[in-house]
Amino acid sequence: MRLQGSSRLTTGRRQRLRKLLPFLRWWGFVGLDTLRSDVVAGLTGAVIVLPQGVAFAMIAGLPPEYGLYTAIVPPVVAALFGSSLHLVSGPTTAISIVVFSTLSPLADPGSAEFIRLALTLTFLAGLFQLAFGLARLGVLVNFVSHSVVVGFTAGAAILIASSQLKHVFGLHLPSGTSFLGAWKDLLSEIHHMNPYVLVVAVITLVCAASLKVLRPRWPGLLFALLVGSLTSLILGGESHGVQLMGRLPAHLPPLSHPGISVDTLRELAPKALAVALLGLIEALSIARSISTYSGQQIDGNQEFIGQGLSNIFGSFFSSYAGSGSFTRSGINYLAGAMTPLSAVFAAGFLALMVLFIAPLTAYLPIPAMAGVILLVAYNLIDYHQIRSILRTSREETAVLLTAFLATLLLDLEFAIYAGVLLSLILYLSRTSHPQIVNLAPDPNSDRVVLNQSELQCPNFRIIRIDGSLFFGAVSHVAEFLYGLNKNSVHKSHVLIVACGINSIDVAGAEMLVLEAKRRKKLGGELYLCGLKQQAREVLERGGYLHIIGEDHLFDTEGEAVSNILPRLDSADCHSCAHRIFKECNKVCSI
Amino acid sequence: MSIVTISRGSYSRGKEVAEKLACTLDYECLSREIVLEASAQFNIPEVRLVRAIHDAPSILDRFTYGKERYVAFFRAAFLKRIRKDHVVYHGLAGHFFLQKVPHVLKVRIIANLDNRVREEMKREGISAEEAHRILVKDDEERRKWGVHLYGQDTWDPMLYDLVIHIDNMGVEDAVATILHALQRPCFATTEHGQKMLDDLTLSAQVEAALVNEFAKAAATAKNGEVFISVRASLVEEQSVTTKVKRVAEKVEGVKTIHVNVVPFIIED
Repeated sequence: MRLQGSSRLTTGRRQRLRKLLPFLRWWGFVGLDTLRSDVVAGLTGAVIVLPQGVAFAMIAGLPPEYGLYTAIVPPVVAALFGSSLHLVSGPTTAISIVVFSTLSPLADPGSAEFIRLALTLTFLAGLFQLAFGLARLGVLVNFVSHSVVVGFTAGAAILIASSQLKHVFGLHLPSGTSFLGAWKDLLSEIHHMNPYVLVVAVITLVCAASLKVLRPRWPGLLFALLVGSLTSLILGGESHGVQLMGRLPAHLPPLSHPGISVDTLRELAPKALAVALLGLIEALSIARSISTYSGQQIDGNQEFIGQGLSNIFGSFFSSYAGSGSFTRSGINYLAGAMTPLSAVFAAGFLALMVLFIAPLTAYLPIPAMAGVILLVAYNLIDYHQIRSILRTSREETAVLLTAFLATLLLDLEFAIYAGVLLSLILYLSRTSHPQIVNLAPDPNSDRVVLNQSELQCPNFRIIRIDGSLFFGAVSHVAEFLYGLNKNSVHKSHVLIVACGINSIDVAGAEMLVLEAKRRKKLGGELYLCGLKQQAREVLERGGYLHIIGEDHLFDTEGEAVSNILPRLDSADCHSCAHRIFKECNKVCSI
Repeated sequence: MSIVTISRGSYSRGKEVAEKLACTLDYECLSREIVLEASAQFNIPEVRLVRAIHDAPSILDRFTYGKERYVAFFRAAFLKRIRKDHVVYHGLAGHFFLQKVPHVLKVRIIANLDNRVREEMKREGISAEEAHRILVKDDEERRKWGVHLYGQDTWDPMLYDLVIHIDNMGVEDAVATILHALQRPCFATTEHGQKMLDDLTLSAQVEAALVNEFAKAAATAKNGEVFISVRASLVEEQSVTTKVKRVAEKVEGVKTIHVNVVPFIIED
């Protein structure tokens, strides 16, 4: 008996079809058992996303039902056309705050114009994402440092929390101001706070936080909103200035069309690129994170295509930009989801809930939503990661702080670009500085075993280069080689243990040739051992090996040391105190 | 000291060949008996088992694993009986179950459709059109069954050691041809072949024990050591492993159990 439904030979046509419709790749695994698991996970996901959708739409400055629409259409498309089996897409906090911050200077939040711009932004972001996927740029996300994502998310969390404080205190403050401006307004108006509003918000927050700790698998946010609504009813909130959400329209996502004109394109394209990049980074990071538990291999390009299509489709169904949600994906996996159908079921259940439960939001107090959003924002900050980054690396800490402060104090769009740029700079800086270590033979071994050591023979230096010898790294390695016994008239022999060099390009090969020639002129030689096949082929094909000398290339460290030692001038050995090689004692005893 | 499986379409005279062959060799001739045994052993109505190993799977079967469940029971009973050797089996699915066992002579008997139609008209007293329709449908069901469960067409000659066109030679010659083939050393039961059959039987018993809870469980056995793959989320790995072990350890002959939870399969 086989685990799969079909094992017929995979033809080229079938493979092409599976590339076009990636859900066919896992469709054969679907059975009653997976459907059962996916329905349970889908139901859990739908209950979780119901309050989230409303909250995130508020963060994005859109009417609450748009968050629900975004949790219905895009997740289905992303699940069917993406790569991850467990990623759940839809509205997210980070994207929501970017949508708000990029569009609020252009239109009043919640207005028809704002909605039109949000849909256009979504469509354009989807186009960018699809184009990146088709161009197979999925690998680029690998170069975005995790510290950027952590820093940006922490900054976004504080922005979100700050934006909700006016609802928590029941203050009437202008929207769309900067982070510092929002705090300044808040502090100046705090004496006008409404205690009824504060009580509703705090009770909701405490309830949500307690349930998260005590009953993590329960739909805590939903329960907390119920408690908040009841509190408001008991206190007679409406008559004491507690604003209510209002009745949500009980219908499925209506058709919409993103307005596209030359002017809109010019205005929104750069902002859409930032949304697209953030969405991709978020989705792929989450997919990869879950894959460490599930063991699935994630295809970055396919994920890009899935995210792109989900936003493009979504923009025609009143959905604003979405991405992968860490909370919902994690819960989806933990609830036992086995295929992306769980996301499809979640969307289906949510659609039913919108039809039958949405009118109940008429009794939902806005401060209760604000309380829930405060918890969402708090959970967004990855304290564990921040702590470990601060402890581990100064460079990463600088990147994290830059992304964090840029998010808080500058334009969010700029913060994303700055983070991506910083990551690339960090990556380039690392790869252009391959580690170079000094080696010396292990005195306790009978064979020649070279270990990292402080000991150095004045006549014969052995180093190991860990990293590729490419144009970006040439300068660093050349400087190091130049610095070896810089002050001696006669240059020492140098053996480069090349087992850590994965590749050499023309610039690297030329640098080796120049160094070999330079050393030869000054009485030294340059040797190589343990060269990998690819690197060796480059040296051979370019004629570089001929110049360095075929007899200067050895397969093993032992062969290299035993061949090089007899070539050394032993005149200075008698006065040398190091005695690094076993042969040193023999020479000195003569 | 051999095993012969004879696969045939309806009214292809395969039954006659099998009975004559068994009589000549003084072997047991099995067909429906195995269905009855499986039915008794696993307490399932005979008609359901027959349908499960004959009818093409429906769309519902694709999700409910209705076929897999009954086929697992039938396979367990089939292998248990076949491993006793000295057997001629004519009927459904045998060649699929014994595909990897080297000493089993797998024979396919084919006949012209016109001759089969004539034979059916004679036996059942029905019209030519009706007989033709029934036979074509029957062949198609068999084809779909094999493709669904084993990914192979029953009519694929690669499944057999010998394909005999009965219209060209008749029952006597067919039996003589099979007897001649059986003399070849490759079809004699060896220790290795018998061990392989024992392992297959044990794995089939384990799968049958698990199939009610884990419809697509796949087991392989070697000297009592059983490796079982089951579909489940890794989140449930521990509980599923415990459950599988609890069921499998009750099967006679199982010494050690290894469970592999398969959370997904993604095809290229």
